[in-house]
Amino acid sequence: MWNYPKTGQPNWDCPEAIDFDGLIATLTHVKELGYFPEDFNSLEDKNPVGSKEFSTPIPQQDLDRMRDMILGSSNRHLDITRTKFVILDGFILYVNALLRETIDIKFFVTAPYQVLKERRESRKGYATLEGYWEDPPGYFDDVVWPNYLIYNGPLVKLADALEAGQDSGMYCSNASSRTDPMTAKIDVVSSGNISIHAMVHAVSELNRNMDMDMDVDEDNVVLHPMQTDKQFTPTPNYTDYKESFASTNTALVIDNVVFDNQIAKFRDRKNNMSVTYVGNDVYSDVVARANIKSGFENSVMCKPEIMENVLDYIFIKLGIDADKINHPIVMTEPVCVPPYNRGFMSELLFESYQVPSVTYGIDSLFSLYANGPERSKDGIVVSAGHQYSHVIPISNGKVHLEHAKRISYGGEPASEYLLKLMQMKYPTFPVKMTTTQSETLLINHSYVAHDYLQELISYEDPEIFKTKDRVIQFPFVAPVIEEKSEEEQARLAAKRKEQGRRLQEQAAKARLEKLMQREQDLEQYMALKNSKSTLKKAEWTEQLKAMGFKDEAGLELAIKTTDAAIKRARNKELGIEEEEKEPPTFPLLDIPDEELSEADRKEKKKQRLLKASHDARMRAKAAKVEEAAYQEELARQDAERREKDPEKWLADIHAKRKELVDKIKAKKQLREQLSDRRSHASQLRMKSIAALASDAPPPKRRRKGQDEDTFGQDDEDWMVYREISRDDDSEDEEEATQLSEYEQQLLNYDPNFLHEHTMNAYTPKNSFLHFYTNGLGPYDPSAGLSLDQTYQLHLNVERIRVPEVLFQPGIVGLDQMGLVETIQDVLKRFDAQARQRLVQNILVTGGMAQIPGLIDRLDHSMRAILPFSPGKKLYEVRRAQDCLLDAWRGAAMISRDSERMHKISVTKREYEEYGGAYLKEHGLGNVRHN
Amino acid sequence: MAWIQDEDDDDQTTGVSSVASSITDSPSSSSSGTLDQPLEGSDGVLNMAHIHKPFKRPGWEASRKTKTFKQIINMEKAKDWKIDTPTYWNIEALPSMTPQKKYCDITGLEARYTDPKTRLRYHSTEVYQMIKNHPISSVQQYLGLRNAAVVLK
Repeated sequence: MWNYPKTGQPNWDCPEAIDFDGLIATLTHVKELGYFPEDFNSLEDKNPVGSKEFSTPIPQQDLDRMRDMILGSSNRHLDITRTKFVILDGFILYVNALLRETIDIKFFVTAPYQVLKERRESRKGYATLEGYWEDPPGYFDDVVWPNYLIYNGPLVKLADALEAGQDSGMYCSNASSRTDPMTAKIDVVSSGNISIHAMVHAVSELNRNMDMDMDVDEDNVVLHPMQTDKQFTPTPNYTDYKESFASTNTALVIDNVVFDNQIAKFRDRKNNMSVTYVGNDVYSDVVARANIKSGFENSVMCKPEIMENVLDYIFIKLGIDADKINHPIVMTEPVCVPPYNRGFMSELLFESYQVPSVTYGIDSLFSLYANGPERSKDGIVVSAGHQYSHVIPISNGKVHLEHAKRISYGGEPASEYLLKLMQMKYPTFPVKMTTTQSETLLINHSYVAHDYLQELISYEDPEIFKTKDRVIQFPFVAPVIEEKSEEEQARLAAKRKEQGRRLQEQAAKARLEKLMQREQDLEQYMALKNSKSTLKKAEWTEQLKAMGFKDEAGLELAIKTTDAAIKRARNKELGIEEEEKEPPTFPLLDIPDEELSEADRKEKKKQRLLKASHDARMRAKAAKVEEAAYQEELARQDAERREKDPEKWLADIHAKRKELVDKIKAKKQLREQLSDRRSHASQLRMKSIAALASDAPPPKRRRKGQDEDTFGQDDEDWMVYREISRDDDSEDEEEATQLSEYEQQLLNYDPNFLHEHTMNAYTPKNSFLHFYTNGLGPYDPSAGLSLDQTYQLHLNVERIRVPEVLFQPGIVGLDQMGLVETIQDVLKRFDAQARQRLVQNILVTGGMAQIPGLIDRLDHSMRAILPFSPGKKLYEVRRAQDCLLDAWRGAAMISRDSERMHKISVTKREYEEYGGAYLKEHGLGNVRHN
Repeated sequence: MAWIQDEDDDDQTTGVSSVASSITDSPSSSSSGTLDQPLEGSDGVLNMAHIHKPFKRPGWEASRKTKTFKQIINMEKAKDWKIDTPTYWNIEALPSMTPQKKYCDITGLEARYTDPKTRLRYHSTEVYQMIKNHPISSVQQYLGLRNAAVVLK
């Protein structure tokens, strides 16, 4: 507590009166945890607010724009709308260095002495720790103002300097030119008037910085789920028609929104009846979805019979049950709709529904009217619609449609463009994406860049990219892997084992049976053989024949083979390894042919063949053993060399690898060049082919006097075929294995050679294309994408690329001016005076107007096309309050003005007299063509 | 006009066309009892093919013989128009007079180079490596995105 010396009054307006430590502790708590400490008890809410007459409210549009800018600047994982801001206000905040560090964005806004004094004195008093305090008379001059000057000295001085030197009177930091510790880190110093922009800028900057500071856990990627299908929401029924409107001539206002203005007509085979669904209802049925039809083409109604269904539906839903529609109709129509099509609509309304009168108007102009009828006399309406975008000037209450312009880009083309982009970015995506889905993406994730080129560059930086990448997760079903309990697994194993055992048993049994059979056979054979001596020859031969033998030799053979088989089987049963078969002998080979009989000579021939194949087998076996030994020896030598001089060894491998890599690359390059017919490589090849094909020997040889063709004498000659062959893949595989061998060795023994150094290494972090398509999430190059990742879309550059087309239609190959250039073009058609009036009221409406950042971008770009106006902003860009429904609202406002309605509506009689295309001009509609 | 739907808005007959009589501000919640036959399922879906529409003039039918929009425009163009009359086809925005920035066909980033072979614009060598491996069909698709594909007829 410190008293002001001159008056002896207590002084609440000096640093000593503030509990800085407590303040900093509280702030730190809030910053870290997001809420106030439990013991925090603010006295501030007991304070009265100063009188209202000294406060100037910020216009709603400015607030909207600020919100746009801040939302537009922050494209990070976290939802900005959930970010908490702590606003700290005080007049000597910046004296304490520690507190300065605690505050993220620091503004210093000053005002002239007189204003400050009035403000302070209009405030009665405030709560202090020692009770309620009221300023005594003269307190401002004696205490507040002097202290203000003392403690904010450097800031006030800076503000004054800026005021004098610069038009804007504000100073944004970033510049490090300020040396005074107190002013160095203040973001915005301003004397008040138009510092809002600077403040918003500072907040956006902070957002951006926080993005970068935020250490996003790699595994903690925010996923945006994607719905699979458009959800069906029933349209409500209105039931108050009979009691409230049936007997009135209340107008019906119909805004022909092209979106969802559709029907589905099909035959329900199950119930055998025809079905017609309208509007949203088509989404309730799968068959209906496949049969959607719209009566509109290029947002112009071309098929009355479909429109008729839609109108029926509207009137039914409203609950109208009279024998005709006894209400005037107010309806929207496209800019410069062909009179022919208006005729369709009028015919439908007057003939089918017998309406008393119709009034047509342009939707975006109705929207202008809804956003302040008093401001609808002069201005430019920018409507970024569903199919098209329009720029329409209004001057002195007259719509100058002859100066209006249409750009062929809007919500629908944008959705289709995004869809195509995503389809090409993910050609193997497992799910088929629909326009509805891409539209959802556009609505939820796109934004208009403040400065497109800068924004593009920022996407290249992985750190910034990380904050802007949006991951869209499509639903997927993981294959079910049944987890079996240990017990179950054990049981299954036991079962398998049991089965195996049983099979083995069966086999053994079969073997045994066979063995027994053979033994029996052998016994019989032996008996037969033995009985030869005892039996008569004829009898014996008969027995032999009965047993199926031709002669005695056959029996001998059978006995031999059966005996051998039994022996083998016995051995196997007992587990005795068969001893190595003796190498076959070929005794006949050494005996000259003359000494042999005819049969033996045949046998000799056979033996010769057998011997040859036997020898070849032996040779191959030996070679195999030799090769293995050789490889072993090589590996041993290699290891020896490695141990002896590891550095040299590594250098060797590196050199070999490099040579191979160069070779592969050269080959690849050659192949690429060959694909171009006019490249040098291709021409050389053609020359070689021509030389080979020509009959004349090459001139070089002729000079030597050798006329005959010697091609092929030198082995090198054949290389020419390799040269001219286009696809020589024979070596590729070999080279690839060799390379991977080298690389494997290097990976094993060279600590500096890492996986990313291998030739085909894929390092997601350095590859823009990788994170452009797959984001910066976890990625294992060898395993590829995980299952959930294959169902993910990454939306990044597309977020700004798609809406940017509004400003640069050239991006989609549309040879038209962008929005800003069109506005400029339209303005050129007015004189300077009118121009000034027009730019003060630029209203942006339509669905795409809702994209964050659009208003800010337009506002910012308008500056460039308008004459330089220091200090004062001579134009205003605003967004319609409700970009979608304002057209309907404006039309409804008109419909309530019965006097005006009387003048502008076309009655049934007029329709009959002048035809369906007839129109009465009024400030908000199309012009009449005669 | 409206391609973004406001789902919370009860006032609008969700999407079809924003329809309401101009003073209907309070949609009541009780179900419709004024119609003489059961015309909707439990889910509120109307089958318009079988609903009685009392407000229509009997015997009148909308013309089914319709022209495509292109035919209509050509027909209208053939009429005698005053030179300064705004028409559907003459309010089209003019070709841009400012130099066009070039953007990478693959990534959308600023394009510094153009591949002489495929005419694709690309941002960096990395993208170029990718382009080289593209089959012609996908090259044409990329070109098609900015309306520069070769269309064979």
